[in-house]
Amino acid sequence: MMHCPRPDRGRDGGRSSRTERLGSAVPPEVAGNPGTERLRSSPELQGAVPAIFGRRGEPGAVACALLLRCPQLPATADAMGFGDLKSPAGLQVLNDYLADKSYIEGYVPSQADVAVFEAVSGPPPADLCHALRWYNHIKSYEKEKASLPGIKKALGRYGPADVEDTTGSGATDSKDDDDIDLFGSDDEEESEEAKRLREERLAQYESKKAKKPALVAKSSILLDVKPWDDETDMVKLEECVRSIQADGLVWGSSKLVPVGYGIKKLQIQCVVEDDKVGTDMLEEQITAFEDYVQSMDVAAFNKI
Amino acid sequence: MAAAAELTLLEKSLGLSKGNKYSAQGERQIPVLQTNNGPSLTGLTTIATHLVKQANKEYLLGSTAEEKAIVQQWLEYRVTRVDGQSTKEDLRTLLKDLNSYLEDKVYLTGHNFTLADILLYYGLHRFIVDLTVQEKEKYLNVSRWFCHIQHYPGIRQHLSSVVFIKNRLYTNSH
Repeated sequence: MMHCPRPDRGRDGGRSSRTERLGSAVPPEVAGNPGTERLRSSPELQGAVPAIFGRRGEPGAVACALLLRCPQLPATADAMGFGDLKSPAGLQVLNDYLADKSYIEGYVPSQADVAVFEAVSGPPPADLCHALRWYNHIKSYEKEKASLPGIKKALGRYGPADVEDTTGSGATDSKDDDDIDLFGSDDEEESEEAKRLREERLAQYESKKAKKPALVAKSSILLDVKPWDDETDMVKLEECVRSIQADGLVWGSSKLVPVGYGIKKLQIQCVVEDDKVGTDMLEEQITAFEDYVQSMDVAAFNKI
Repeated sequence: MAAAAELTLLEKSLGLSKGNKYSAQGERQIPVLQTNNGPSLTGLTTIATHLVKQANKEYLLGSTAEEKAIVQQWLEYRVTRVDGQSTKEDLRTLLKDLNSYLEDKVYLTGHNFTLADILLYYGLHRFIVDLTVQEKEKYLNVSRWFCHIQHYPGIRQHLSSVVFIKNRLYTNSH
């Protein structure tokens, strides 16, 4: 399963931009995103209601809880999650996610791990070795669960970017955990209250959607590409750099800046879509031109 | 990395402020530490263990008898297999073994961070730095462990940070 590269999740930059985007009860921007294509073409979604993830305690969260009683609610492009963690498919997503990570978020155990641990109904099967490794590891922190750093959030906040969270509590109704409570429900019928709220939210969303243009997070990056010496053909070097093509990457203007001893470095601008291209990918590809490029640095990185 | 440089790094990561002076012995440059009022200590793992005790961080040597044994096992592994390797084939075998070992463990001893993780990280750094993207993906568990250790506060210091890209480029399923 391919995951879209995200700007440094777990480190400061990624975290603040994520909370920025989901901070208020404003519906996330989906118009024009590939995510909405999925929404429209998916057969099981009738009268698709977008999930509006508000933070707990805000009015959005209550509506969110009622909305999420309907199964198969489509998630927006911004939502995360592991699918249904009680099903083998969800565990498979978790397994793939944890293949190269020790923890759900960052590099220390946190409430994020506690939240996902509690959503999983038991130890994953032995063939999902990464999920099992993580499960046993978090189990060893059983006693310190409450003191782990971070805040426990809804399951939809964790995991790979393009998978929605559909974990329900099914038959087992545990009233201990607030997160499970949100999803757990024996009550199949929607009350009038919930219906009315949903209609109201839909109308609000539609009107806001009509006003807002599609917003894609973009950044402008200024790269410094350094050659081996002053004999290096800078024209060829620039050609090589510009030959790097990627979806969401647009090369801009460039100039040669002397750094001393006759050596010039190439300063080149590019505009990238944060979700599609990351600086580490650019670094790998540029430094692959070993004949011309000695090293590459990010001189400036600005969000647009 | 020279043994003396590595021991200095270890001192800093343990929070020891006084910099010891290390001399080298023999053609393999085995480090020697002359203690103030005792015998001289020879050997990387011996000195490392001594430093850990000096820093009052005995938990880094393992808490249960089994864990202590595992820590010693990996320290021995570091000196014999990692430092002693010569060919590319050796490196590949080493990484393959390590990869299968780390499949169900977060740290070398399982659930706790120990001196074994630190010294193996320092020992492997110069090899991991040169791995291609494909190799890093092939030894996924080693990459995961390495990425984790290099983010542990105080360990990496001035060593270069190895980039592990999040996208799986070569394998889509595990």
